[in-house]
Amino acid sequence: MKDSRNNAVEVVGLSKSFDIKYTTFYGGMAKSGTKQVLNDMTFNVRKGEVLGLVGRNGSGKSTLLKLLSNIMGPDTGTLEVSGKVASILELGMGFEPELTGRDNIRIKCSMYGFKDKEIDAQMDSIIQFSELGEQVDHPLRTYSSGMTAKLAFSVIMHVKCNVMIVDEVLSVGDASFNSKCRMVFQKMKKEGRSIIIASHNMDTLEDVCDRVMWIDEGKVREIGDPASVCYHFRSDMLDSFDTIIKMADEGDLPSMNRAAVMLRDGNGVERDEARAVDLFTRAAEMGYTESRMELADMKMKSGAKEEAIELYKKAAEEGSVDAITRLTVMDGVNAEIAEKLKSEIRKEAESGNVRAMRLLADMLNTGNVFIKDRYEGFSWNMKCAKLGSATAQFLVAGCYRDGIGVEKNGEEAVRWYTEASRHGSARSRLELANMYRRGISVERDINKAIDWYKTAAEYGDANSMLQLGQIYRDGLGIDKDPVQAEFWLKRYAKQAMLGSEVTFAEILKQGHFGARQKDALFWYEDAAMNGNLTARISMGTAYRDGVLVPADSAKAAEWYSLAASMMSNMGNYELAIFQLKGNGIPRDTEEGVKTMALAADLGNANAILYMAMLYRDGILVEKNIPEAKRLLENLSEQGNVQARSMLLLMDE
Amino acid sequence: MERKPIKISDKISGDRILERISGSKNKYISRFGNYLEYVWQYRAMVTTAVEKDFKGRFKYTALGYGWHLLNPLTHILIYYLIFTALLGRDIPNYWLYISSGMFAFSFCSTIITQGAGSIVGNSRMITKIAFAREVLVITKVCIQLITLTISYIILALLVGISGVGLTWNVLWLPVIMIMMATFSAGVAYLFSGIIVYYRDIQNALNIVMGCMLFMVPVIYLAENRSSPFMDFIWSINPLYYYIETVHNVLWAGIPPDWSFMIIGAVAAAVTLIVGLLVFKKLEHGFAERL
Repeated sequence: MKDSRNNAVEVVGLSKSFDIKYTTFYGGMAKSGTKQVLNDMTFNVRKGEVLGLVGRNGSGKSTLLKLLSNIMGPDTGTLEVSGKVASILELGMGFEPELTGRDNIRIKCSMYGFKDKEIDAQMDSIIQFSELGEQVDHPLRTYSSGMTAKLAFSVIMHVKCNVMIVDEVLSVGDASFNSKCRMVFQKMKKEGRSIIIASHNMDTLEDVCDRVMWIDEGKVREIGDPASVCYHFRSDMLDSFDTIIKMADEGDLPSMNRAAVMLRDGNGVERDEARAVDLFTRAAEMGYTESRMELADMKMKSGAKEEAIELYKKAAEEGSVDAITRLTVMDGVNAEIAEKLKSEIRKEAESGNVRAMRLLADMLNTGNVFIKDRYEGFSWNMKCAKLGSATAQFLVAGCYRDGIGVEKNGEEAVRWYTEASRHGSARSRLELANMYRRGISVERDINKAIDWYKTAAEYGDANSMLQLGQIYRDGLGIDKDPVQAEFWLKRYAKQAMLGSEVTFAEILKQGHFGARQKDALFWYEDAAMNGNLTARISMGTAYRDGVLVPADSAKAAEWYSLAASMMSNMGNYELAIFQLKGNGIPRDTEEGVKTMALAADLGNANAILYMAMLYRDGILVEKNIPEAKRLLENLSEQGNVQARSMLLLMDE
Repeated sequence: MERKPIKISDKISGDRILERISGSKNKYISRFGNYLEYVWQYRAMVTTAVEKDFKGRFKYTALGYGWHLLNPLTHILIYYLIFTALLGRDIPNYWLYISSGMFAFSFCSTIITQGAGSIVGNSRMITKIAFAREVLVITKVCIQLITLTISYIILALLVGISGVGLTWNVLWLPVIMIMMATFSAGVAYLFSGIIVYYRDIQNALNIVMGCMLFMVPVIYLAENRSSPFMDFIWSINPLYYYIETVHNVLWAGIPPDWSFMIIGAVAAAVTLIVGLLVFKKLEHGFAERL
């Protein structure tokens, strides 16, 4: 899009090829072919934007930067840059080793177009930025590469350019220097000057850049949000079968094993059992135990029992427990019993016994009784998961996430973890939070991670409170928020410390100590006073329902409001009910609606339903059908049946 | 200890002059002014390179800068002692005749051969930094100008001392030097671009310039040129005009021939313009081929 007011760089249809030359037998020059380095690239860089470039070596990054720096011309296509360009494409280019640092600064400055007066004016600032001190008056050949880098950078940072181009040299400086450079970048952005950085250091890029462009074989493969583009690039590079097989060829045993597994399962590459066996054999011969086991398993399947037993024996000698287990099972004496056991379990599982299914799945996955068959194990777990078993759902999700027994699928993993969480699996929430936080099999999304941590925290999980506190405190992926950090860390502290008190209270309430039920209340109160959220809610409920104490709406409301003050969505919901109904506290519909809205914002399903109802019927709020629908849709997406039925009723 | 750069007063500084030119209303003048400004921007590269060459040439030698003087002196001595006896029977003050011509020829020849190779020789810089490639030839010209000036000053002194007689006509020398510099630079620009595409040309050029020594009146008198039908070739070779003029003002002590001066000036200007045009046309293809 032609938009010279807002774009610093506009590239359309850029192509560039090189002729490959070599010397002939008589010493002359001949051409052997053409390499297409850039292939119809089109992109823009806005003014004040920082663009990162990632790509494999040889993908065309450096060539693109040379074209942008006007060192080369394109074959076809247009390339428009508005304003002056300053670039560092190689450290130490243009420096004279015999001259001093100061003189070299002069040379470099004049190359960038500084006039004499300007050089004098900036000289001190440049020297100070470079942190070279008195070394600046020593010859350049006495400098370390890091110092040369600092010098070069210091000069270019002072150039009044509209576009700065940096090619893979940003990593040379130390932390303090890098943070100085970062500050300069910020200043440049405010002034509407753009920066283009090519780097392999993806952490820096994700930190500094507004957008990242992935160049693959001369084409723009992807351009957009730094975290997601880098994630795609990384996974393409590391998980690609080509990379693994390359490492395998070089003799890396784990890579050989991984490659063989991928070939055997047809995961990420076309299934090729023969090649898999070959790789397993090679790795096994080199002494890799895991490959021995895999090879032995494959041989058992294909019927080569004696060979398999030999391999198991070798593995057992090296101490593999799996091998030992298998050998003992195969031993003549126990074989019959083992066979009987196996067939019984199978029969039960096939007839629909969930427990049997789960048991079978576990046995297949660990390979202790059955030959390790992750595929079959997975399918049994899947059957259980579909029947609603939270543990199975949790395991299935894990398989999808790590690609065990099924092809890696981030979205399915998320789906099943969510299912498991709904069925009560606390670990699933944490796994989800972790996945989103570290970008495992899904795109890194710190906000989703935070949501899941909050859900887990709502159910009382102390660890998530701690994680949240740390995230907010250290600003990991989001802006630092000391207020939130303090909040969550305090909750964590109290939860962790006072958990025991609440447990004690629960025990008392259940009447384990007979008449001391009433004492439970005191324990609750103590915990609640000290800020334990669960205790506060329990107090509120106790007073509302008249459990252990005479019903007292006023006190209930008080406790709920205390809980609400801790941003508990349940506390807010209950408090809102009180406020709206006017039980025990003066009726305050305005406050009530506000509190209910807050509870809905915090994610309380009942509150959301309530708000949707209010919006739908125009009670206490202005009728707003779209808003009601929106709330219900969000909720029904999470699986809430009431929301779904409300939606259907609304549509009629 | 920082060396303060020498500053011409603001009124006549290069920057101001360029501003006046490139700010001109005339489209062609201002475009030309912009071009000059673009090249002027990189003048520090020229000064640095020249400084590096001079300081570095005789580094770590015992005589150091002394060699800059010793070189021309030794040549003159050889011409005097040996060549006079061999070739210069008919020519008075043969040492002066051959020296004046030889220095001028060597000036042109070096600029042309080294300048033509300056792009290929600086491939690192061309492929890594964006700068005005013109400065590479300019550097060679500056170095040779300084060398030639030293040589001619020594020669002039010797002329005065030896009693041959120095006339005011020697003051034409700077003009001739500038003409020679312009012409040689033009040739250098012309070939420097072509050589990037066809490397063979560099070797051919070296051979031609080597032979050229015998096709100009350096060693022998112009009248004694080898064969009459070479007249045409001589008459279109600008070097003939330059060297003859040097002979006139320095060896013969007479004013230069006006027709020679005009031909020389026109030849220099045309060569420079053509050379630069070809250079600019070929420039965009440098980086890939280096």
